[in-house]
Amino acid sequence: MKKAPALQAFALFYLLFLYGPILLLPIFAFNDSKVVAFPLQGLTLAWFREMLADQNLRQAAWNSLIIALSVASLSTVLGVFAARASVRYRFPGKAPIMGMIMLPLVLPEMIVAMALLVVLLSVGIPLSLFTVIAGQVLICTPFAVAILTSAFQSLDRSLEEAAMDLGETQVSTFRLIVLPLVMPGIMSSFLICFTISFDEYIIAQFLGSGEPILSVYIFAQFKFPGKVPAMLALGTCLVLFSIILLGVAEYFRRRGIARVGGTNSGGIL
Amino acid sequence: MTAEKPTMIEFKDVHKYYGDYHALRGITGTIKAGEFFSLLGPSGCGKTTLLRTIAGFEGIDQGVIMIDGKNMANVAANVRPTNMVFQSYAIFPHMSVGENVGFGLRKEPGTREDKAKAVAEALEMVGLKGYGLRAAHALSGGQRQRVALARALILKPKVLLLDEPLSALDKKMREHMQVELIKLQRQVGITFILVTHDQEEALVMSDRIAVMFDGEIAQLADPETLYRRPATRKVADFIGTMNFIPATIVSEIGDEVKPGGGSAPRNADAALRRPEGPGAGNRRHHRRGDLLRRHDLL
Ligand SMILES: Nc1ncnc2c1ncn2[C@@H]1O[C@H](COP(=O)(O)OP(=O)(O)OP(=O)(O)O)[C@@H](O)[C@H]1O
Ligand SMILES: [Mg+2]
Repeated sequence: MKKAPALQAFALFYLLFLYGPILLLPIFAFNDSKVVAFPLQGLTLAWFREMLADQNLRQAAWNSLIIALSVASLSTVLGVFAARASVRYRFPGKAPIMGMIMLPLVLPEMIVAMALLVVLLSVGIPLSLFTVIAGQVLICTPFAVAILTSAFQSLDRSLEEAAMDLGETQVSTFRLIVLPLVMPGIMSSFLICFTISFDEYIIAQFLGSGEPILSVYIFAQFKFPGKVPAMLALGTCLVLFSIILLGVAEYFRRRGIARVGGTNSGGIL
Repeated sequence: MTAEKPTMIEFKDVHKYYGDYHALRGITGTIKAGEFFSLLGPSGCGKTTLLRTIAGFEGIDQGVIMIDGKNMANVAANVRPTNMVFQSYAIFPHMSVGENVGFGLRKEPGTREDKAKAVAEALEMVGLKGYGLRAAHALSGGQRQRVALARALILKPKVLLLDEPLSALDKKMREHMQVELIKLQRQVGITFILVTHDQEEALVMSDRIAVMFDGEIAQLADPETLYRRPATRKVADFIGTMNFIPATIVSEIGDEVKPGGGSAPRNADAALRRPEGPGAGNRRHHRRGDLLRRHDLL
């Protein structure tokens, strides 16, 4: 293939632009200065200590974890039902129903958040972590449905019939045949919903009750220059956390695929 | 020969609709116990549909299906005394060969050792001795087919249903498996119902064959009868290569038919066998219709 220096330079620049800033996080997290600027001053763990000592930050991280786990679980379970129904069954109003489930994918989140807030306030439901979870489930479910639909579609229908033919009920067939075979899809869905929820800002801000939530909390801290280095330390931890999470998920996904002898199509990495 | 065997499956005027589409149009007939029975017909004629109504995967809209004397109307697929070998084999990819074969035993009574023994026996029967621990997805087409057979036979069903089990194999493997299937059927004595659109396969393997067109059984007979005395021109056309010679019947004594008329070739045999008509009332139709002469019979 002919080399195109301009395109190569563009690709390089693009990658640098994408990942360079992330590399700055750990650099400044260990930098012994309150000012986030070059030249670097010296090595310190002070910002990590400050981060760990921050009571509110710990609470926010905990809350975010609870929200993200709940949202990922709920969205994935709902996604399994919706995807299964849309792949397997024909029912009246299927197209509009599926369309409505997928709509939040293209709807501006602002609108969803505002509308939900208005409804919640007028009905008199107090804002809490639960309202955040409910709102984020609405946003995440379409992603879960999209991922799981392709997982269910690749499932040969005759596998289920074979299990029924050999004496299993609908329920035991689902448990013994369907579930294990769509497990890679379920894991992908869970992971993506977890990630979306974990750094989701708009709904967390609109529908939160003021209890600290990580994304909102971090943004607020950036108003105080003195707090920024500790936030960069936190960011470093989150990057590390994401890499580990992705690595583990990818390991299980590949193992799942190898076990059924399928070809590696798609996935996150 | 097959006359004294008891009836295993009986269809009485079975109709099936897919929405507006009339897929089975009054299927009537019987399949005898221990018989190797084939459903033969062109693509889309309803062979798979008929097989699936026996297995219980499709309900019927009218008529009765009896298996071993019991009406199957309200009997679900998972409790019918039938097992199926799917066209795609439907091997569970996340299980080993042994787990696949033993899947049907999961709910059966018996100790783990008994079941392991049954699995080993079933594998040996299909020539896959010692394959139990292999991953099912790493098998060849022919091996998958044997696994599917062992899996379906391990429950000792009254009827084994096979939906074009050989169509995915290459010619050599297919011929090999035809022989294997016949041997296996003799060995276990179970009623086999084979769906195929390959007339040669049906003629070679079956005790009796139902030829289907457009959701109807055109003729149900043994291979010999089907080959020598096709009931209609369509059946004859489907069963083998042949010539159709327009002719007029000048006399008819029993099976002896004397053709005449200008369009018959002069060197054609003087006497041809009249194709067996569906009934006396239809004779007129045959008198005026075409006479069949099979290439390789004359
Ligand atoms: N689930 C279904 N919904 C609607 N129509 C169907 C369905 N299954 C089959 N049909 C139609 O019923 C007819 C018979 O189908 P069937 O699968 O029984 O044919 P077949 O004889 O097995 O053909 P082939 O040799 O191609 O497998 C076909 O015209 C098919 O389009
Ligand atoms: Mg078919």
